[in-house]
Amino acid sequence: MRVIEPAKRRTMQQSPVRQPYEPLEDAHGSAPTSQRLLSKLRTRQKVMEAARALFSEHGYEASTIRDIARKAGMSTGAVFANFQDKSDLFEAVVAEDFDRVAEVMRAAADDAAGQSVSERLLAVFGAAYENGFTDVPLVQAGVSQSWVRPSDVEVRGRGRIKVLLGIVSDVLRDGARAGELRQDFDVRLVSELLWDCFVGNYRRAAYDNWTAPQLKQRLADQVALLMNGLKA
Amino acid sequence: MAEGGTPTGLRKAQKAATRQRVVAAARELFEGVGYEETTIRMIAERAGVSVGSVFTTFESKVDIFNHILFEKFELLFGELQRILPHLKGTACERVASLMSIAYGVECRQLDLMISHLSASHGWPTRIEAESTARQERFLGLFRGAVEEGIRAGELRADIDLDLFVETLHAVYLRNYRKAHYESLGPQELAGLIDRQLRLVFDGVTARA
Repeated sequence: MRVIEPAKRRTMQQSPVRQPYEPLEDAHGSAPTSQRLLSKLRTRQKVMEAARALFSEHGYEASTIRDIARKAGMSTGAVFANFQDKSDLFEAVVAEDFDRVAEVMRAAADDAAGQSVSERLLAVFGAAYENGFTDVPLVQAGVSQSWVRPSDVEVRGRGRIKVLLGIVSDVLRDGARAGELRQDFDVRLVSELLWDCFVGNYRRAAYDNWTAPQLKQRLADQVALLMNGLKA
Repeated sequence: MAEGGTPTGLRKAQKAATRQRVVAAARELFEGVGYEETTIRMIAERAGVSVGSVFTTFESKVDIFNHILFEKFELLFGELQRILPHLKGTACERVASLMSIAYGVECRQLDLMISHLSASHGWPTRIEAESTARQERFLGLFRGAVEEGIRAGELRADIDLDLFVETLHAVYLRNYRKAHYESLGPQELAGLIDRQLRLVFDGVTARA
């Protein structure tokens, strides 16, 4: 496997130190009281809500820390006490979504247990369209940023996608085990292709106002196409 | 006016020269610093013109970008068309060849391609419309190869062409991520696309 090389550019916002979801610590190292911890968590949550709204409304580049602070009703200092920079804050918002969507997709896969591979895949991705990544402008901002992020952020981003692909891969493996699909296909490759179709369809939502059911219908056709080549 | 022609002609020539300098400066900046980080002021400075003259030649930053993408596309499309009559093999192999050539062209200016991919998820509808029109021409080449495969009885006749070609495109684009973050070259991308396309074409191959 190749080592990912440091990005050649756009490294101004590198955030090598802290993961956005790392446990909170008291700045001075003493044990924080639960009161202070709670209030810090609340502040963090408020910042993330404000950031989410602005990223969705104006996109990543046009949103500033100053605007986010104002919307959250606090100082920029309070924002920086919780997040290193805008890229850090954006990543925290995205990570929150991925965690939630992973639960939604996993539940959908379980609920559809026993159905055909195509039906289960559709249930999993359909749930992601309908109850997962539902904020289309935020998805667009996320995809846009994913092409130009520093390599450490990219590595973490891939880690998050891998969790979702794992759910898809499990459905495919179940299908192979049940004898519905061929035994010899590259599970990772297929789940990546499905993911590309899933994400690619958001362009229709952004520019042609497609709704979740329309996206799901498109994906149904794409699933049928790919599964046709994998039939046992 | 008798003398009107010369100054107007001169003004036109000056405007064209400014436009060329703006485009050249913008291209360097979009490649070097990226689309989002580049400002009109930076473009004006590098081109050695005022911010005002930038705006007399282009409406906004995204319009300069769109012009550069148009040039980039013409370059790519030209090379693909040149190669078209020489393609051999199955439909899958012909599509793979087209994509490999495209990787070769785009990887020569990879940073611009990455800026393009990133900006395409947020630009205004009017740019999306132009971009879609270019994309249709590009995808038309894949479509042609697939249609030929159908005529030859190699691929199933009931293929949903729009869906299929769109899926090919999604697969084609994903590999730029590998080029960008893992420094894969055109040859390595060609190897990847081969495997991916074989899988996608498996679903539409006519069974004896």
